[in-house]
Amino acid sequence: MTLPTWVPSLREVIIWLFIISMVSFAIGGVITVMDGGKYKGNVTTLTVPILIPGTSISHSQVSLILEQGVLNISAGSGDTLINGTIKSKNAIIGPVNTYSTNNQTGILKIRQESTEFFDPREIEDTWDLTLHPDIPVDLSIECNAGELNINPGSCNLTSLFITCGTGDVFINLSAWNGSHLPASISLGIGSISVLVPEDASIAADTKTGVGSRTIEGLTGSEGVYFYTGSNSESSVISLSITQGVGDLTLKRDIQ
Amino acid sequence: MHKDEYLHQLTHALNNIPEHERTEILADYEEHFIMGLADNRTEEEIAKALGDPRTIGREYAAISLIKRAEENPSAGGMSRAVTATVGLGIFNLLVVFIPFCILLFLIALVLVIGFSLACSGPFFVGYSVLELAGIVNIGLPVPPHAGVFFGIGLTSSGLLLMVLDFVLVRVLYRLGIRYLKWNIAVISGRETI
Repeated sequence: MTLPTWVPSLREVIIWLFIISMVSFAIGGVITVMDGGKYKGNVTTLTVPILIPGTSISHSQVSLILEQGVLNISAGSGDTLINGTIKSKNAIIGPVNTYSTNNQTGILKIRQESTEFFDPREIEDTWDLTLHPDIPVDLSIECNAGELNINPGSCNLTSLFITCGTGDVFINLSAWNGSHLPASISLGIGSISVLVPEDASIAADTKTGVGSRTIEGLTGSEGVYFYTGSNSESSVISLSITQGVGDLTLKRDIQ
Repeated sequence: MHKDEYLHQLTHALNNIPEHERTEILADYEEHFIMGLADNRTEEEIAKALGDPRTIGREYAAISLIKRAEENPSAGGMSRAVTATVGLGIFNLLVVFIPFCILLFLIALVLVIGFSLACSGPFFVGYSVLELAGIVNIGLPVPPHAGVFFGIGLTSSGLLLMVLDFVLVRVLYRLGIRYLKWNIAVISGRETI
């Protein structure tokens, strides 16, 4: 079967597609360079203050759901359960908060703005939050991609549950002085660093895929490490770490 | 093994190849027996010298499938030729089957990348136009005027990749046939097939 003369040959198709690609990218590149970075793409940065009162509750459950960005958690000093700011790049409405109380338990959920459908905006948040120093907190963090810096100081953290797809997780529990803290960290790709108090009893069960493992101040092998505190009233931390690819560092805060 | 039994086993092993090829091969082997007997050799000696009829059958079946894949190019024909060649020895798992799978993966990967680029281009152009018109505010990473051209570039480069993948398949098909022929020639000790 012979093709009509107006049908281009394979060689002509390749040449034309190549020329169109090169010319288009070149024109686009020239326009971008001439613009000189002045175009900000209507990028908006939304800053939302977060202030959840800590009065009339004796316990709290805090759930933070971050699609992409940086989360910094530290110890607060005021009378608020959660205090801080959330900066959202390319967001329209910012994070969505729901807060309710039930039997003196405050239940807080903060979720980054997102859509169920394809969204070309790259929403990226920076969450700087502080926790109430005394109210017991069950803290749950979910993150798709980002950097988590959890430094609760001496806050009354009663449980910690972290799941993250990609990113780095740094947890500093060196100043934590509660009675028992069950902590679970699950990370797909990225590094995990956990710093635990010097004198707390530690039981760590780690399952890691590819990457190095640095354990300091604990004994054990094959993913199970422990340390027994100097007295029976020492704080107890039960750590469960699951990591796909990345380096794991687990250290006691030895002075 | 006597001549009749040998030829019977060979006939059975050649079951999957076309009738005219089978007749030709059997005639060749019958002639080997006739010439051997004329040289005062026994049928057992000739059969032993000719080799295992099942192995010979598998080799001819592979050769036949390769020739058919060469004459009528198709994915199915190539797959059957590769499968038949792999069946000639465990070593061919390494030197035929694994490279074949890797090449298939690469071809599919290039196709998927090309298709993704080609599909993403219209979206990029569309969003750029909508942003230029002030209808949406989505924060493109480049100026919308440039976005239109980048979108066209993405589409055409995606299509280019898909066309090049097609060319790559044709080249690899020819090379693959030659490689399979060479492989069987090495295994059977023939110079060419």
